[in-house]
Amino acid sequence: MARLYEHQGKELFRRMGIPVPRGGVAQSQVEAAKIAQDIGFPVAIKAQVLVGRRGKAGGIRFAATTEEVRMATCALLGEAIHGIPVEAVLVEQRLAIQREAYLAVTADPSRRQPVVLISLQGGMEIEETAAQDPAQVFQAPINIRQGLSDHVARNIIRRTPGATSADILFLAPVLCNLYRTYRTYDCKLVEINPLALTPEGPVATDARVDIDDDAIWRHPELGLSMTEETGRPPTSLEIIAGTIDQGDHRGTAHFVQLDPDGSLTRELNKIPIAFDCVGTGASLTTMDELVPLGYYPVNFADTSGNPSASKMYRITKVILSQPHVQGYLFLSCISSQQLDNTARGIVAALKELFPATGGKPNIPMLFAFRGAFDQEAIQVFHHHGIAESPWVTLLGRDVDEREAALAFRVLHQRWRGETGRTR
Amino acid sequence: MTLAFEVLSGGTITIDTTQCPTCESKACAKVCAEQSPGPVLVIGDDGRPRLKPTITEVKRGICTECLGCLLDCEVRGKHVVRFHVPLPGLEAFIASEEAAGRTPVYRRVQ
Repeated sequence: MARLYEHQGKELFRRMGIPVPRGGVAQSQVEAAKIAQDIGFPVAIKAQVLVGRRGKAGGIRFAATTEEVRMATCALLGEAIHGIPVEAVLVEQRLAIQREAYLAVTADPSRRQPVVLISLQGGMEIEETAAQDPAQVFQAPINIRQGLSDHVARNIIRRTPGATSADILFLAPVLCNLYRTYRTYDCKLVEINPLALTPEGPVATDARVDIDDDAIWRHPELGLSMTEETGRPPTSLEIIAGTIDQGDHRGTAHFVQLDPDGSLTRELNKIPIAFDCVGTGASLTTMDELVPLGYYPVNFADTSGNPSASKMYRITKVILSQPHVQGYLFLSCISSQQLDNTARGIVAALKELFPATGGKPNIPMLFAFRGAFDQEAIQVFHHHGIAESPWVTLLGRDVDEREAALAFRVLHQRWRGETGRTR
Repeated sequence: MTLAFEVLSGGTITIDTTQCPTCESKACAKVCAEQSPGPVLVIGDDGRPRLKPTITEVKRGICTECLGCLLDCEVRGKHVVRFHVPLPGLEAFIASEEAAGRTPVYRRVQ
């Protein structure tokens, strides 16, 4: 799913009629001071990072003067919140909050329908509230055909523990608009935590909006890249890889860089390798086998669901464009995927990337084809002469993940011994 | 003479058919015939490949982009099939990485 930054979520809320504090996004002290002066003091300065419990980690500051705004912004922009560097802050009105509530709409897979979650016992500590007294978080499934009308919203709030007449009156429009946001933008989750109850009415002081990955293409107005959610801004290669699935739903090409600059691999004293699997389970299992052998996959990739050869061709080019890799391992789970097509895509990429040798690589590469058309897949490599490369190992359905990892080590050690290369 | 058609991914397959009448293997059509949902490329009376479905059907995905025509023509045919599919940003990324001294393995001396 694609998780929006708080300021992006609040922009959607504003469009959909949910009150949000006045404010703006800043990437420097000067910008932050200007915004604060425009909206008036006091203000809240909030780190824009895609992690939870930001406030407890010091990611939210308050300021009553321009100088305080500058200092708080300077401090936040140099910080990392739960390991994620802060590249922008949201400067917005600090509100006089009387009470806090929690509102959310999400999908309930067991009911196969949207569900509203609401609590009037504070928003910020909703996890603790739910754990200690689950009855305080009221849940109501929504009939997706009927939607959420005002009278149904009022009825939901009326049944919420602690609700007053004023709550029913003021919160029902917010709940209806939150549900409209959920449906309009194909969300998996929309959440206001907390919803501040102020003398002027309810105001969303935070916004969590997760959009269904498969629906991003329906919302070009949001300007989202089709990358995997990692909790950090996507890398350039992840953005490039994200375009592969755009408009082509034949299989998937998931790609996440685990160590984009190679620093973690160096720190762990491991050997960096590029990696692709058919199936996430096989991917994780194979990673588990590789790491104790001294290798570190610098990326996760899952090319499953029977992707076209052209999709494999593109993702292979992306995977092998990662610098500092010393090898490549591809492995399929025992799948029904037509693996000869998978192989054609990989071979087409290798022939393009290594034209001088007709596709024979200059680093060790292991391909384990297991599943439908696996023999044909191996034949494709033979047919194009790549199987004859000294640095290519081809395996079939008779190996497991551990055996594949061990075979890769044998190949890599031979490559290192014969070429004297370490990169 | 050129046969060019767009495919679902946004790519374009281009075949320079000038030499095709003298190609004995007709590898492109043979490999295409093995693919589901059936051949996209067939050999016409002039010995050159042509599309069996309409160009619109091909663009909508009847060509599964198996790349068989590209690869088999290279090995058994006249090496006249080209496939271009956009991968926006990759060249610029590689250029910036190389400028920073981080060259991908396939651009290093082999």
